[in-house]
Amino acid sequence: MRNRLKILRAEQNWSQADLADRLEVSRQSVNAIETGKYDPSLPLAFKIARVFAQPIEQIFSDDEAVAE
Amino acid sequence: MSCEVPENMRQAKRRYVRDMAIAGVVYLAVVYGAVTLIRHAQLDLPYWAVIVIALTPVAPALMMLRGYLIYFRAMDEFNRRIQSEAWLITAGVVGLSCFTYSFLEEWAHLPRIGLIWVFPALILVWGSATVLVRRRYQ
Repeated sequence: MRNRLKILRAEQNWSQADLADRLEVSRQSVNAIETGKYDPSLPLAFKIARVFAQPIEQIFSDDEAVAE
Repeated sequence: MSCEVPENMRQAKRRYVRDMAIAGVVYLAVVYGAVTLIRHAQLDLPYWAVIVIALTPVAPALMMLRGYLIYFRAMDEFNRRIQSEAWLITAGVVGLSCFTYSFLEEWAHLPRIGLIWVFPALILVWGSATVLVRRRYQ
């Protein structure tokens, strides 16, 4: 799964730790999600969407859908 | 304030360290007491009492397990994933090692190893597996 987390975070001028604080997760979690090594659960993905005030599909996209 | 882990996880970690320290001290005291009793009074003790004394170290071990489970539930989902994978590897490595060595003991007459070493082996492999799994996600 791809995501725009790094771009959205940069737009807000937040560090990984700032975003982690807002999501109530560890900074390592944010890093793993940004680098695509960990796909968040649906509740966490919704939380990320709420933090950036964007629909979930604007932040995350399916790799297979992108390939098609 | 920004930090590596959120406040709720920091609190959970502090509680985990405290719980483990208390359980560790209780374990040392219980083992010391049990060994003293068994060595010095075994002949005078009824068999059921020896069994009860021999089981007392399990109590602090259960305290440690409870502390770990509380900490595990307080982790964020990413850290729970790391811990789950680390325990899966640990179960595989220790389980397979015991399984393999039991054949060597029985058929190749290698020296007997006591079951007491299974728990320390679990802790050792879990620690190493946690480091390896965490590195995979970096």
